[in-house]
Amino acid sequence: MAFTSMQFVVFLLFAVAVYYLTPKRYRWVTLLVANAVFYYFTGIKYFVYILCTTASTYIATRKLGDMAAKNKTAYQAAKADLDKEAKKAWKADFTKKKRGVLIPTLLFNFGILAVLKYSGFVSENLNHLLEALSAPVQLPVPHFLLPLGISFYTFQTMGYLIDVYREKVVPEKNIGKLALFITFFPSIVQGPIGRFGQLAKQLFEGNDFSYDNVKYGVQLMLWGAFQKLVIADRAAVIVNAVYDAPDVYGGTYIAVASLIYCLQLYGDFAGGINIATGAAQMFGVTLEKNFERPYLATSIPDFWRRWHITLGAWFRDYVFYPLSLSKFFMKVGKKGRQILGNYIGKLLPVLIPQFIIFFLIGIWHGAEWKYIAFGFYNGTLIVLGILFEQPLQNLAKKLHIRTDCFSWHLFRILRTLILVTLGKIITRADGFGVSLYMMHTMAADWNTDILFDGSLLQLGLDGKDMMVLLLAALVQLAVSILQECGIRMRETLAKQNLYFRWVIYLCAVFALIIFGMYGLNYNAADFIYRGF
Amino acid sequence: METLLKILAEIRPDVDFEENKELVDSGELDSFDVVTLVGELCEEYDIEIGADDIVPENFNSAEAIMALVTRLQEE
Amino acid sequence: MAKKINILLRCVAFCIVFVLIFGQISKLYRRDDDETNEIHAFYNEPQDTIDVLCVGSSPLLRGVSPMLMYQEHGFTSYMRASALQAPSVSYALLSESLQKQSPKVVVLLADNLFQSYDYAKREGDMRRAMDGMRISRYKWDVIREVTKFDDRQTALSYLFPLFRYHERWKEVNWAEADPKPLLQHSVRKGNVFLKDISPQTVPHNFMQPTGEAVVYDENALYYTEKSIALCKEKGIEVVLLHLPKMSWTWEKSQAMQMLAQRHGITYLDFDTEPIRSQISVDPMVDYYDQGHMNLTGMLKVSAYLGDYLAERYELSDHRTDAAYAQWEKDLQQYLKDAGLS
Repeated sequence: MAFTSMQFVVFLLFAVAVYYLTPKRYRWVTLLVANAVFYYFTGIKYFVYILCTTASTYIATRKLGDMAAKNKTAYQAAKADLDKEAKKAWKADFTKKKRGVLIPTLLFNFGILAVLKYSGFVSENLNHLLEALSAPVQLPVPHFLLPLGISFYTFQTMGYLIDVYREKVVPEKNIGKLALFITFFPSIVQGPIGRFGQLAKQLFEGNDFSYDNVKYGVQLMLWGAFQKLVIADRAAVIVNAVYDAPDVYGGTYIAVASLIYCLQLYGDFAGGINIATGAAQMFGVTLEKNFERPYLATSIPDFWRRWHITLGAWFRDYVFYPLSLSKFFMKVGKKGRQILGNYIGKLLPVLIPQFIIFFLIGIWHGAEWKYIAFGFYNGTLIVLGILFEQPLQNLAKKLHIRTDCFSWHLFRILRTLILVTLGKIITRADGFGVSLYMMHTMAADWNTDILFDGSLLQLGLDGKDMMVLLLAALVQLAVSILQECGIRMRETLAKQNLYFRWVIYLCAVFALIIFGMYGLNYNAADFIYRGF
Repeated sequence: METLLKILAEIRPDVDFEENKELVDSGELDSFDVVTLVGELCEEYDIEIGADDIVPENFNSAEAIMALVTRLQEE
Repeated sequence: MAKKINILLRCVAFCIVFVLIFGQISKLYRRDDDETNEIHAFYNEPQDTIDVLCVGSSPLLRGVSPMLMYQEHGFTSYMRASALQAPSVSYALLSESLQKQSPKVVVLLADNLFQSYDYAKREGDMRRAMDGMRISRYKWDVIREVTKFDDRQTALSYLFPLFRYHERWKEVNWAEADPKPLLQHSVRKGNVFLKDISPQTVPHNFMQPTGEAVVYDENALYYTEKSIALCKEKGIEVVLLHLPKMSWTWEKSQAMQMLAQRHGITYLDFDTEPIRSQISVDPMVDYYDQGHMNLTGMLKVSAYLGDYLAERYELSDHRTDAAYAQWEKDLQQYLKDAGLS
């Protein structure tokens, strides 16, 4: 059931109606049933995986909860007699016990993900290695179909497990409610990855009907559908044409197609997230923000704070901090300072974990070498950015370049956009080698004539379609800039008079119906992020 | 408090730690700054700050950071 | 409470405005097609006023004129025909027509019995008929069958054709375009004639036994038999019809004859003797292409078919009936349009 299908619209309207008709204390059950229906229509075959995750997490978190409660009473009783060292030892001992529950559960759940997602990739590469060593054995290469949203719900659930382990949240006693948190249908397909502390209350306590919530939810969904159907799916035509035949098209084509791919990926992913967020809002549930005008970022770290925010935050809280604050990296930092000097040495416990994170983010996107390359590309950029920050600032001062003005800001935005686009070439091209080839073409074979002589219109979109794409992209940019200036679109619109509002709504709906890329002779590209 | 402000100023000389009460929420301090800061704090005050202490509430202002340090010292 | 009612009223008002605009835009972007219009204009015929109902593919459209038969004999008829009409659509058209009309005779043009119908390739032809049909359970059954066969086509786009034709924004110029509502009243009664002449050569051994193996298409046979059964149930006479076509064969004609016999209905084949000699269709003049009559061919075929029906079935003559005054008016207009008056 794709988010932009009529099926989904009907399903959602029905679910919302039933939700508010259910007595308040049972509203969470309605949501759970809606999740089951959604999952049934989308991939019932994989139900068992999500069941395993739910059950194992439920058992582990209950156990952790009990342990924490018992430990607390015992500690309170014994506290008075303990000196500082003994207190530390007590704490360390308890942490060790908790890890006995945490680690097997993490291994089990990430194990499912790893086997389904990466075993084919790993054994394929091992086979290459075996072949190179002329070994007579070959490993079987399994190909699993990925359960819907497995990367998303696994991360969300494991975040909850770690939160319980850290005693940040109280474990949920009702397994039905836990299942609701794990399977909440708007966010299971492509995120955002939610936190238990933020979602639990909203999901479990029946929310009151609010006209504003429903209205804003519908508006956000419309905007998301516009981004997806009018912008992303239209942009996809050009991107596919060029990327399907990388050896045919010259450097300028590749540059244009890659920029348009940025547009496509954002429209597609952010559009999908907006539909999800809007759908959740209709139930009175606020999902976490996943995008914040990423292409207006002024640096690569800034980009990653604005793009797929919940994934970045997940890695920051559950991988980056534990790693960089671990004893090992603290020691590395100390040693580094002695050997490499204060400036770089201090950065070591940050830079190495940062690299690891980007490696993980890379493979999170898919089991392919190009995603690993993509991770390293981003990791390298960030490290270089940090290392050269000080020298570059000094250089700018020496050259008397003003850095507190709009032109400098714009320069930083464009610079970041170019770096991001290069990264996107890596992920979009058909393999890492191809992306290198395309970048080489881009540098070597440049012909700007095609921008003006109509050659671009031979890529599958005619002049009228191009005009629609351009206008729609400009609308999106205008909205982004307004938001960047702190204007809240829906609230501002709500303050306008009725006629103006209606004109805007009707224009939006009919722009979607008329200019949307859907229907026959056109296979609406599935959300690009769905399989991840 | 004096020592803390000195440490903070060393890490980010451009931030006004006495006035800003939303250091993390407003994005002034990023994850790199936090990790560097934690390293310094651990050394200076002889405490252990774990990943579970890294929440925005503990780092949003100089007072909050001080409170965290005091709490960990007492434990 | 007052606020809630206010919100509710506003939502309803918004929906009404939406529906009005949606309807207007649908008319703007719809494919303006003669056959779609004729299929739709049938709904305007008053209840129980059609004596002979014909359903089937394009040879009917081109070859039979209800108005000429009315002029000659005074009985009323209507062609609910469209090019390459699917057997399922023919059945749906017949069934919904019989809700409002109770004809004495139903004519089924069923020479597509030997072809299998590929919904995926024939979407345009499907829509030609379906876009003119009102929503009914019969139409819904066809939609289900089509969408089950071809999952690229959606039920929604059959119910609201704008979802299919929205891409026509590129062709239609907003400033100049007029909304094109579906035709409300037809003077042609489903007869979309063509005037061009394309001389034909009669194939060697035309309508001679050649030992060709003919196989009924299962789906086509299913719907044809269902149509026959429906008419029988309502006590309506059925005529299975074949109109002149150069690719027709003796074996196919025999197979049709057998089918008619099996169901105890009449089979009328314009390519068999002595009918062919009697109507004397001229291959050099009367064909639009190998399978369709042009205007002059239509005159001959309609004359024969009119005589045939009037002779064999007790069809009333409405020419002097005041209740059918509209038919008289329509006839004059039709003759003028066709250049026959």
